[in-house]
Amino acid sequence: MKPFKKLINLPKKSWLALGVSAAFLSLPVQAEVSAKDIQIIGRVLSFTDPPHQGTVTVGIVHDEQSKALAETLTKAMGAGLTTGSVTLVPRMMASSEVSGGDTKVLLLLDPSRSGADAMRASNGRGLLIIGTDAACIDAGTCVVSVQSAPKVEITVSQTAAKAAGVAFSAAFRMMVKER
Amino acid sequence: MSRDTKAKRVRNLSATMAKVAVLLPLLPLPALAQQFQYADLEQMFGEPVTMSAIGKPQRASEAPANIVIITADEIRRSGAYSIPQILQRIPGIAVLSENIAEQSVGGRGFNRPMGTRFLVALDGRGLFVDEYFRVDWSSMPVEIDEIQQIEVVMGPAGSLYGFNALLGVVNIITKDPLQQQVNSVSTRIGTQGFRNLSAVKSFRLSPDIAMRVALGYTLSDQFHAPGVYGAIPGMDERTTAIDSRNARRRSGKADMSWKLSEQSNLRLEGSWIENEQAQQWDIWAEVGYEVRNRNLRGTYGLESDLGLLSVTASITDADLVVTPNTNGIGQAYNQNTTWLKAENLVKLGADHTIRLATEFRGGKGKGDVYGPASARVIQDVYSASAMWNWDLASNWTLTNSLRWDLAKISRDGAGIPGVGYSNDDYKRTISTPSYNSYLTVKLTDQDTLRLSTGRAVQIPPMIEADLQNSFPDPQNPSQLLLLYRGNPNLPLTTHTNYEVTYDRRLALTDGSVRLSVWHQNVKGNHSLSTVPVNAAAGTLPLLFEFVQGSDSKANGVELSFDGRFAGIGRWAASYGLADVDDRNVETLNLGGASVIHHQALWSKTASKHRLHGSVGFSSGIWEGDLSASHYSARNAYGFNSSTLYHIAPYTIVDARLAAEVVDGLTLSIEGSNLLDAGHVESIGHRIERRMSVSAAYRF
Repeated sequence: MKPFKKLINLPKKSWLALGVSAAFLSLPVQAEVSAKDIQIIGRVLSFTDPPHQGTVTVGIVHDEQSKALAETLTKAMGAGLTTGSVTLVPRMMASSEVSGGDTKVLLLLDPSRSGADAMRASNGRGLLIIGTDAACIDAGTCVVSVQSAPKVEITVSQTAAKAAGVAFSAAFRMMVKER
Repeated sequence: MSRDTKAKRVRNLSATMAKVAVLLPLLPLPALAQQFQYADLEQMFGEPVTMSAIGKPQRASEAPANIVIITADEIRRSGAYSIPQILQRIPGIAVLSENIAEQSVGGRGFNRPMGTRFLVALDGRGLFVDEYFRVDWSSMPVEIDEIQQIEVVMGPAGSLYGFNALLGVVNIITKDPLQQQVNSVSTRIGTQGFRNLSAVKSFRLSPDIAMRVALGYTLSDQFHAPGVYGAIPGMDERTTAIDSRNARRRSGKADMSWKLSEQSNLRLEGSWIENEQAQQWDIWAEVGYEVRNRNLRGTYGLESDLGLLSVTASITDADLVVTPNTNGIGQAYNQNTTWLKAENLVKLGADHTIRLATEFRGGKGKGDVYGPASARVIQDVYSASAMWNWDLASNWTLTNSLRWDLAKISRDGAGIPGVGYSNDDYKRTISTPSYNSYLTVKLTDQDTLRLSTGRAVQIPPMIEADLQNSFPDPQNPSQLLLLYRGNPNLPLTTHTNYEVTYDRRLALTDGSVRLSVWHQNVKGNHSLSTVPVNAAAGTLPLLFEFVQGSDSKANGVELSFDGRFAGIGRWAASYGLADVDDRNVETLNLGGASVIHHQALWSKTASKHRLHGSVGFSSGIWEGDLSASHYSARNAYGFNSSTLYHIAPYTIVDARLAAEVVDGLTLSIEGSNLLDAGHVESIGHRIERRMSVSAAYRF
């Protein structure tokens, strides 16, 4: 269950005890990332044009609030997770680091906070920015969103893909949602 | 979050990642070329994918047509002796077995021997034989282990597939050699002297070229007890010579896939089949049948800024011999088919996908069944089609497709005196449209509603349109006794369908439910007249021709459930209702009596109710599957007769039990029609119980 939903299910007294403000409650929360999400991300990489192959470094983009999740994910992926024709090697990246470096794939744990920086950094460089919440597509802060539950849903932002210089195979585009 | 909880999450996630990492390298690597990668897309979406519904790549759950996909795993677990045996699990489909090696696939109220209303395709190439547009299942150039999946589209699908897709389409998709390596050897030995050997081997010739070779051999005795025609005086003796023939099939195929560049690929395929068996024929009831079929096919695919371009060329040449039970003299003929197709599929913007295609199919038939040696029948079909798929809103999709076919039919060479039609009479041009329209609404994440309508067309096949055949009187060979002629004035057969389908995922059963309600208008049912054209004259030879018998309307319902249980089990159940009403039935006044004489009553020859159930499990090295298909009572027409013979209800129970005894080696025992020693399904043979044992080694 997402932290946001856990919070709103608490009794009112607890909210007050926590000192939660309305402003905080209105902020989008960090998305959780499952093993199946990672598997699907690996598959998506083989449908880019040109396709990713071999070892691919995936920047796990986080800020202070999502750092713990980033550490969990990085540890779980270990030295690399092979899915299809790619081996995903995780690399933790703070939000402030996305503008530099040569990592070609970014997984945003908080698109709402780091997505804008990532999109600016992409600037036609072929940087594939991935989120696990479709809200980042509407907000223009990711190129692809991947969700594995309850059903696999993959959405591509045509505008963000063009800005980032990322293309996908024709068959893949016909099978996913595009906006 | 506590430290213990964090640690537990890391362990759980790591464990899951480890399992995924172990499994995934075993899965096939994606081809570097961007052709349609069935296996990888299925892995990504967690469900089968298809192009068979509208010619656009889609997830099965999002296909707008009523489509059922039978996976390679389901085929393997079924233990079926033939592909039709697997198909009868689909609600709405009816399989008619006529003998040990022959089945006819129809459904929704329309099935007769030599069933011609389902289009069967192999990787999109129609497999029907032009003389009757019949499907020769035993002469199909594919081994079970080559099959990626079988996609069944219910309802007319003429706008994508052209003529003959009246009731729907069965598209058998084979594995791309570059995407999946298949290596297997299997053998099966059983009752009725059944022996089968199949071998499939894949070769990686370079990083960009892969090849697969498949060989198959099957031999069996015939079912011996006659079906309905055993009740017809004299018929038993005439079929004895045919009954004594074994059913024997030998096949070979080479299939190569070549990645030419990152954007283009080439696939080349060559196959041959030699098949001998007994078969039911419209004209002569049972015949001995031999075919030698050779096919070459090439497909070029290119992905460019203009879309996905595909160009296919195929040529099939078949030599056939049919030996009627009437005189035991073989009639040899040749069917030659050329097929050319070019199509382009492009996505425009975020919401529109367009497909444009043009096609040519050239068919030629020559030989004894068409008349004297010089006689030749030609059917050339030129086609153009367009499909537009529009994501109207996030949950609404509209698909429309239209196809125009121009068929040129002609006959040249000598004719048979007394037939009454000249070659000029047989010259004909037919221009006709077919269409499909689908509206798909995703009501919720669990519920999908599909509304559809479609029209598909069948032109008269070569024998019905252009046949000229004769048989002498056995007592006086210089006198012709029987003449058969094709009818150049036969109307088209059309099916127009209206259908509503509802799908829902069921968490309770870890499965789904599907309900389809449909209505079909059928025009132009025709068959061989059972009364000679010159009956009034009372002269010899008797002259028979193909005529229109009736129109029909049909209504039906199909309901299916499936699910999983206990982590190891799976089940499915379905019911199909098809209620046919014949209209405009042709009758003949014979001496003051009104006689229906064209085998025109389709309402009489279909099982109104069909039930199916199956259950299976996979646990450790063991797996087992049990299925039962029930057909309600129906009738069968006798040989060239208006007499209807009653077919009692029957239930077919099939089962398979298997164990992977060592890595890659599976031993199994399987059986078909286990409930009875034999039952009648048609005027053909009584369908007997069969048992066999198999060994399959996959490496």
